[in-house]
Amino acid sequence: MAVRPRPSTRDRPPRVLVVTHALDPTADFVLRELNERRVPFWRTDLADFPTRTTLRAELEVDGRWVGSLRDSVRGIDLSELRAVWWRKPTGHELPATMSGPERRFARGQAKRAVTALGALPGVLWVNRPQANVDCTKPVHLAAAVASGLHVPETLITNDPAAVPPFARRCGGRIVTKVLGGIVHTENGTRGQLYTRRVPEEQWDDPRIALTAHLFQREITDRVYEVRATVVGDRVLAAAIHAPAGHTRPDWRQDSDAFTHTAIRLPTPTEDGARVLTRRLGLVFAALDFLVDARGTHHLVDVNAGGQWAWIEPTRAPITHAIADVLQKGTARS
Amino acid sequence: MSLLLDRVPSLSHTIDPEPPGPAETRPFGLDSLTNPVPIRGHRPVLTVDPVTQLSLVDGLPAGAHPSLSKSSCNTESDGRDAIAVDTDQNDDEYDD
Repeated sequence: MAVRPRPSTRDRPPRVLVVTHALDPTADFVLRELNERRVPFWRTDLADFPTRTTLRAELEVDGRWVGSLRDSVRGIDLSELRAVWWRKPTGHELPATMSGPERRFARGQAKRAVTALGALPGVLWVNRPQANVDCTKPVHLAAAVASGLHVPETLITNDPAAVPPFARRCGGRIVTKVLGGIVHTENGTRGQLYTRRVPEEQWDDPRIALTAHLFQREITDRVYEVRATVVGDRVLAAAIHAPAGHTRPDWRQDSDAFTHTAIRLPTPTEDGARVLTRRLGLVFAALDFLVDARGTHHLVDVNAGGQWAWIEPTRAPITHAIADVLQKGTARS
Repeated sequence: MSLLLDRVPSLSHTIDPEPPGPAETRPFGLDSLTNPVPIRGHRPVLTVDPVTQLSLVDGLPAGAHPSLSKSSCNTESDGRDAIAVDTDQNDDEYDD
């Protein structure tokens, strides 16, 4: 990938705040676009506060917080802020010499202080962090059904006895998937917890009782998958095509072998995607669908902080759409 | 961690050193674990370009760094170091 310097906007006061980790190549696509457009922004990470950034927030008589959040080079004037892109921040870094109790106190203070940003009026959040947190599988699957979308039959349980009858209702073909993150680290290693089929001999595994597990009907006549990215009212979708002979239930396991095509969702599905994201309070979301032989789009996941740069056909349109909403922000009353 | 703080999530890139427990108390869902890769050795230095505010890895633009340049769109590492980054929100691991 060719990389060339972009013009600086450091001489103009940022109205866009980007909160993310120091390594975020997906966000970089949008930041390059903002640089090209000469839209002043400030990129920072929660990790920078309070050791490298300074907050001064004072409550005015009208109830507004005024002041600044800044580091040694850039910062924002709280009263000028128009948009926050909440990407993938890492936790507050604190002096190594702090004790555990001191760190818990300092981290709690810092986290609570940052919520002052959420109280600023007229700021567009992409997305509000609490909306991301609330976008759990149980919540977003129910919201998807309420939004008119198709969702495969789903069971969440820690009761092994509940699985066999559910599996039989699903024709004996079920998968299990994690309720949260697929990344799992232990023993100095990092692996992934991909969606997998559950054979009949495992339906009543007693270890299902050890915590909650999610089971879902397998879409056995899956033709292709769709990653639909919603940015405001725009829906930018790509079909994900498996190579011939691919039968694994989780494309993430073989993503390099897949091909992508920009597509337009059927109107009811596209409308449902907009309704769903509004219902979840999200400005941005990446939705995953499985498309069966009849063309039915089955929603299987809503990623409030989903990645999108890995799909080349929709990379530029999504980049521009996110830059558009950040640049526009929300007009002050 | 209080409910309030859980609502300002932050990611954790920590690699847990603790080994698995006994098989009889290992949750069923962890049978899905695939390709556990040992994470050791060089940890790249991650910074932000002071002018463009783009990601730098060991001082190089992220897309030009060897660990990312082989991936399909230069947004995820080859998984051999501590900087695999291309997780969706639902795939992210939060701090406790």
